[in-house]
Amino acid sequence: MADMKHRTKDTAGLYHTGREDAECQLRFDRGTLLLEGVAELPAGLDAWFCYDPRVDAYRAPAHRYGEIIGPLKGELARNKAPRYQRRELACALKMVPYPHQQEALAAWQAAKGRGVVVLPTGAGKTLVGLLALCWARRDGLIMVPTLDLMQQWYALLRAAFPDQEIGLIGGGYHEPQPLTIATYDSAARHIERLGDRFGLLIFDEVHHLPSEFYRVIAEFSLAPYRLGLTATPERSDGKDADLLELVGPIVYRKRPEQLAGDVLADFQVRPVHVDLSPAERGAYQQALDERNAFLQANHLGLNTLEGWNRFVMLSARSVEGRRAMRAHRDARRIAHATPAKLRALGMIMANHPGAKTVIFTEDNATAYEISQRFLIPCLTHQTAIKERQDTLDRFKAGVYTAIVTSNVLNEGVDVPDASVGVILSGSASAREFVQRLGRILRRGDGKQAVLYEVIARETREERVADRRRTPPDASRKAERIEATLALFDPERPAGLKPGR
Amino acid sequence: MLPSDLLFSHKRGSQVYPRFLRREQQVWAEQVLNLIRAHQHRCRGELQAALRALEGDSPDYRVVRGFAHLALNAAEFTLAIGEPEPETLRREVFTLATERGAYGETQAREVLESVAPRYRLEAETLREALYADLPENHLLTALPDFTVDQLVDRYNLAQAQGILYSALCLRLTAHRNVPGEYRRLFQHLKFHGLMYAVEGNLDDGYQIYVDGPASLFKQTRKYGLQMALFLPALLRVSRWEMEAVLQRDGQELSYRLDAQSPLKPLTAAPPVYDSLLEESFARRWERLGTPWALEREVEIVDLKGTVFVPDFALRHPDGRVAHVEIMGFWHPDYLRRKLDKLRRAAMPDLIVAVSERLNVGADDFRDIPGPVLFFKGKLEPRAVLDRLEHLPVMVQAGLAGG
Repeated sequence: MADMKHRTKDTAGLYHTGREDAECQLRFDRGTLLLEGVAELPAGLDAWFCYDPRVDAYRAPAHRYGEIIGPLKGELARNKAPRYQRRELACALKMVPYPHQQEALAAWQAAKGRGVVVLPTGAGKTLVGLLALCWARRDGLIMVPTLDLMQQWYALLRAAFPDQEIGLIGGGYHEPQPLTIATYDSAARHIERLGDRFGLLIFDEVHHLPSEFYRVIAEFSLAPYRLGLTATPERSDGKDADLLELVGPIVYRKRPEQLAGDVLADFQVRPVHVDLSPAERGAYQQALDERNAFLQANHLGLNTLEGWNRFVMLSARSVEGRRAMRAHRDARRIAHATPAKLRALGMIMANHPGAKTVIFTEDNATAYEISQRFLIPCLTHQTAIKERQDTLDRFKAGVYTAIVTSNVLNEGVDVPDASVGVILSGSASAREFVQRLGRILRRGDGKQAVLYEVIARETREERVADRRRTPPDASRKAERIEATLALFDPERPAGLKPGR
Repeated sequence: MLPSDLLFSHKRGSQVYPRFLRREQQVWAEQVLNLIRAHQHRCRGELQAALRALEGDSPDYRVVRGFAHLALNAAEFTLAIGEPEPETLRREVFTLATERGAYGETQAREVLESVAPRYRLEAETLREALYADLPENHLLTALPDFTVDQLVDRYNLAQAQGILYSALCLRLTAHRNVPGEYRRLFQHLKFHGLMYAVEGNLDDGYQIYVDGPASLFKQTRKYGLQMALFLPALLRVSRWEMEAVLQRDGQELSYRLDAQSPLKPLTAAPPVYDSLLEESFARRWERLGTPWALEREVEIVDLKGTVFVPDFALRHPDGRVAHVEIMGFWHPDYLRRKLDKLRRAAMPDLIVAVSERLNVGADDFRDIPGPVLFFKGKLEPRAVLDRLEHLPVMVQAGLAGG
């Protein structure tokens, strides 16, 4: 025990006194497993262990622990690697899982507690995680991409395990406990010191994990049990293939249309096309012309990633280049945040008085502008946790009936029974679209939800919107209504115009 | 340090070079600092707009932003809570707006006009007061306290550090440095979670190969940030060379730096001696008039996972060599580790001088091969010389243990 105490004191784990007792022992060293006290590596272990001349011992990647420990067990005098405990968790929440939640858990158990469960947003992925914690009966670490999700898991775990301290890492907290919720950012930063303390890892929104910075959370941890949760495992960089090694195979998958009606509310997508005002169109065209002149003079095209990269590079080298890049941004800003869109928003809200409405913007500035113009509460990354919770509570209670937000609500946050969604501008990735849909698809009062997508006509946004609707994940069941709300200058009468 | 988009470097062959500031670019440092000073007690948004105006369409915009980033990291902004308190105001106004039943610009104006008189504000001023607490409305309260030259130094250092973000490993060569420099070098490597292997000897210099625990399995840039954080500590060493192996766009590149580099460390030089005990021992040794020369350029003993660096080397003109380690007043935990190191270093030519204030006895040094001498108060050089003359035939140069 004294030995243990000293070891934790040496935070870097470098000085260690285990050498004089030549017993064969395994310990965790900053994201790896160190096998000490053996002159030669026992037979059959060379698939995992390498000799490390820096410390004169054998080393293996921590995430191989589950495979290694079987063949190694007989050789070890002491196994000091895992520091997690067996933990019986009695769930105080009496919730009856849906069939799809039960099936998902069973599929994950059958895969020996390693794998990814794919369920649409709103289908109760968090409950699957809770069931997994109760089944694995080991100290658990839950990774979340946002502070909102951290709050949501925290509230759920407090309710489910009232006698259990719940730890938080990230968002200003660093309090590891046997059950801990961490942001991906903080977990990646601290996993070298935490990787031996948990037997189960749960990755919420697991599609974040394969990035170069986050994947160490899986690699530097020895947890034998791993569960990934997501609505959309696919990544545009193709790295979702790595999930197999980092977490496990996809063990269960249901698409929104397989659950809609059953769990999710029906919804329609209504594209709303707005025209730029003549002045805006002029400014937009001028900015485009200025940019294009530079592109032509330098023989650049923006159709390929390579062309774009060359533009970025060249633009940094001259006054003309800087102007061209600024013109490009101006054009983009005019197309995204055009006052015409705000007028369209006014129209939409007038059409749904009193309906629970969530408005999505691409940037904070637009969100604040809408908040100040219409006096709608606003949530951005800058909103303090307390005020954020307070605002959501008031929205749930109906004290507020609308919320405007830049991307913070993108992933998995419970916004109950909103029936109108408005996307004012956005990017093209399939994942974002499905997740934004999820916000207003929560099981509610059975009413049909409406999602408006406000697009500036004849700008590059139109192309983005088309690309967005093509991916297979994006709501095949959605009834597409080609209703174009034509909204011109406020002086001119606004009304319903025939579709394009 | 700087974010990646504010870094400059260029590549020639397989070598990467940071682009340090050209002389004419250094004027930006002064302008940025002046602009920041002029904005004391004003809000962040104003300062940011002024900085944007300063960079204008200049191709040097990333230099301006780099200076601003480093300078503002050392500045302080404070929330300027006014009356009415913005969060309370928001709750009141948003609730009233919802009660109107429908959202719209006209309804919003009516709400503002009904509330504004209570706060003695215009409706439009009230609209702005809703978000007076946003970061861009915070006030600049404490200025960065460095000179133009210091900001330029920090900028150049940050460029060199930035190159290491993509480093796979470092190869350091160090020769003839004093014990304190070596110790701090290895302490910093450990502090930043890095690992090392040491090769070489006193005369030819030491090669120190630096990476991280998981580098054994595959090359990884995971430790690049830690190496960047370590760099200022390397600049504190007297004689060294560094080669960083980088990975960029799937290509292996290299970045070299040495003690001649114009880069300056961030902090003042640490004291030459680790303790007064050592310092007074060295001073009084000179007065002894013995042919044994006391040297501070010493051996590094690689103990696999840690190193042992003795305090002094003693050299006799006839080629004999011995070492001295002084154990003064230490924390019990440090003492335990030191004893473990002495045991593993197993140097028969090492004289260990132990303060009687330490709670250790001859028993604790049973399995340490060299002579052990206990002292009260100051360590008398003559006592060490005495042991030296009685040492059995010396191992000629180099170490017996290790």
